[in-house]
Amino acid sequence: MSNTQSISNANPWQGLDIQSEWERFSQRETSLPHVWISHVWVDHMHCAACSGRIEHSIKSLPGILSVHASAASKRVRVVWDAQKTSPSQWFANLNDIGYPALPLNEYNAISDRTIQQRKMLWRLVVAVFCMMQVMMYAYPTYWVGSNDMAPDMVQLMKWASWVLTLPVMLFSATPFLSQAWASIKQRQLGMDVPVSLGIVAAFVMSTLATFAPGGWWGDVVYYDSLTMFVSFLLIGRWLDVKLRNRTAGALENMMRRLPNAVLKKNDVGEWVQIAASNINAGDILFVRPGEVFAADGKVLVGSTSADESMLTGESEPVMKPMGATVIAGSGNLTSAIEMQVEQVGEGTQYHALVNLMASASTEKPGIALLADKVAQPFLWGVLLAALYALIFWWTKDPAKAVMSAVAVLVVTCPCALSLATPAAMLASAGTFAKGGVLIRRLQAIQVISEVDTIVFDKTGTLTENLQQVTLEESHAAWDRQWILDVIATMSRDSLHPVAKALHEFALHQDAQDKLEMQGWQEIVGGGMSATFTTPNGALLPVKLGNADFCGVSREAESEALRQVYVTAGEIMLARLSLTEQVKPHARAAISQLISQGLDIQLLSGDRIAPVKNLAAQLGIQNASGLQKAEDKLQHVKLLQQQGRKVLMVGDGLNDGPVIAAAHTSIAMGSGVPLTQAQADMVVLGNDIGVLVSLISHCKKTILIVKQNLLWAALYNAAGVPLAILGLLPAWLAGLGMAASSLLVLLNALRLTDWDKSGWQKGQA
Amino acid sequence: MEIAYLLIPLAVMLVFVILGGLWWAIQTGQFEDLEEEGSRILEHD
Repeated sequence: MSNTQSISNANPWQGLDIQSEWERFSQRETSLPHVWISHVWVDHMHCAACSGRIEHSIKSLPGILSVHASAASKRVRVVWDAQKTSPSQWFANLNDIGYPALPLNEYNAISDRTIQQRKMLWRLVVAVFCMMQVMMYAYPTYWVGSNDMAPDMVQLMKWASWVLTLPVMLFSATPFLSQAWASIKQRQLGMDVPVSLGIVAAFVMSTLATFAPGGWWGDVVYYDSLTMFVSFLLIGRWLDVKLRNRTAGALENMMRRLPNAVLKKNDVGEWVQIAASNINAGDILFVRPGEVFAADGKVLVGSTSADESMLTGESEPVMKPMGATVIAGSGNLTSAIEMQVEQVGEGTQYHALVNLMASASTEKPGIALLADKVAQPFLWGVLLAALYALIFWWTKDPAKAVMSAVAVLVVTCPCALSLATPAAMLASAGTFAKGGVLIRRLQAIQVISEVDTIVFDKTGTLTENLQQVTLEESHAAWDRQWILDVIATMSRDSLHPVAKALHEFALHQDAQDKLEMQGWQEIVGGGMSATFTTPNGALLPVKLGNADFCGVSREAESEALRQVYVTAGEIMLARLSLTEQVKPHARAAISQLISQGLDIQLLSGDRIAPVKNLAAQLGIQNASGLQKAEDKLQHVKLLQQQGRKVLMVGDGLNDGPVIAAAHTSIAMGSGVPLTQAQADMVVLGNDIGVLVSLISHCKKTILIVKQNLLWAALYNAAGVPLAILGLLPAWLAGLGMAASSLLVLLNALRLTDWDKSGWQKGQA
Repeated sequence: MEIAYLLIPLAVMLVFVILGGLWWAIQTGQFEDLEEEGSRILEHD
């Protein structure tokens, strides 16, 4: 590139020298003025030697206080003085020694989460450590008769236990206590209220027994049960935080990819560095190999290959010749290119993807809402049961009364109930996301597991995206190249697979898609029309589409081939034919689905012959062609009236009402623009087989949710009566509570194992 | 068994010393980077 010279002259990182820019990846060093701690991401740092070189070269710069490079996480932490240096200087230095860096913008979010998780672990460590010590002092009293130990020895052990319980109460248990307090202040009954009541009651009783023995509270202490209970609760919380962070981590791995600054061509044709937030549609950007595309757009100059695995789940590099579409968040692998920006920020596929995952992780599925609805009366029931136990025992033995009430509060701790659904759903959603399946609504997992009818609303889902195009004939009186230009221009903006194939084909024939055209419009199920200016200056209305749309007789058509015509009024300018190819796994996947008792149907807007032909190849009994959106809607409604649960599979684009009417929907295919996809789930990539394993995994998820709920219900049904009768000591109640929560979480963790192509193993 | 009167308070104090040590270790980032530190000795300085 002739322009590389002008890039290296100007410091390309100057955009980072504004405080608001560097604040995004830096934190103030509070003890020193003007000193910042920045975190950057260096992709090429592979070994310890690399990190050594980086540290060595940066340390010697003026204004750099300390550097720490970690090859394992590919991160560099730089502490620098804003009065003596600026980020652009050490960024340039990193670049010069061969390690181009990216600002780690999400560092603050990541570190927040790490701090949160670390704090939770620390609380757990304190609780468990103190619990072990308390158990040492409690253990002798389990076995020894009351007269076998000197009374002051027993007393000393109680004091020691009390001292060791203090950190647990004051530090480890604070999340529960403060949340319970917050919900009481809001006059609501949260999950933490009964738990905290139990903890506080046990602590108060034991403290009284330690320092003022002999009252109605007796002289038995419960420090062992108390510390154990808090430890178990914290184990559950910690696992929960970890599980959530794992999902969020997958999300942030993606977010981190977008570059912060890009090279843009200015009005006089020079490359200047601008902040990625200032890119507009239409800008021309320079992208070097190893960099990440900052926006969606087209390759303008040069050709390269791109790594789109983040967005498609397919690890093969994708060739990007001139004119090809590149997507934000994918990596430029082989050579430097110029690209024209078409979509930025919110409009990009990448952003849609991130939003999709973010919204799915916050949305509650219906089955979880049900659990929430049950929770309130359940909590009141728990409090009443505890009160009942208290009153029941009070006259006989006040100490036993309080501890029975505590046992009720502890044993019913509804952690298992509240974790049952979200743990399983989130585990599955995270697993799906890793395998290239994105969930817009968690609810979909539940619905898909109940589906009995699958309707494919496009043949394109079952066939390869790009079809083989042949120019069968073109009008002799017209310039063939001009006709190809017309085809390229008309098909340029359509998302229809046929138009995409035509566009690709025309470009391969050296056509240009930049002709002047007016009044372009696309008629669904027909074709496109627009008005062109012919080489000799006349206005020419052109139609591109199927025979009916173009008003041509179908005589020349064979059964299996799809024909596309280009006409100008009565004149036929060209005739093209397309051949479709069935996707590699489609047949096996369909027969697998049918053998699972699912009814597979195919509704297509295509002509009847090719649709029937495809259906026969795949073994689909019920297929109809020439279906308009209204017909499809009618068909789906009819199926629903018969009591069927319908899953629509398509590109999720043009059939809004049908998708809305169906119980749930999956959009699939690598060409799906996510921003417009309406479907509940989006399957990235082209493998139809994923559908089989997806459905079975959804079923497994719901099975596990049901197991979890059943377990929680059974456990409570058994535990509460025992606790009221005073047969359940507090420590055993704590153990039962913890075991039920752990069981629920571990059960959900089984879902993180998803074999995308596992369905094929049953074949052969 | 009189020694227990000394040992129990001592054990309690020891617990707090150990917890304090762990706290220091976590706060100063001793567990931040478990893989990297082992190879530092192999690097040139």
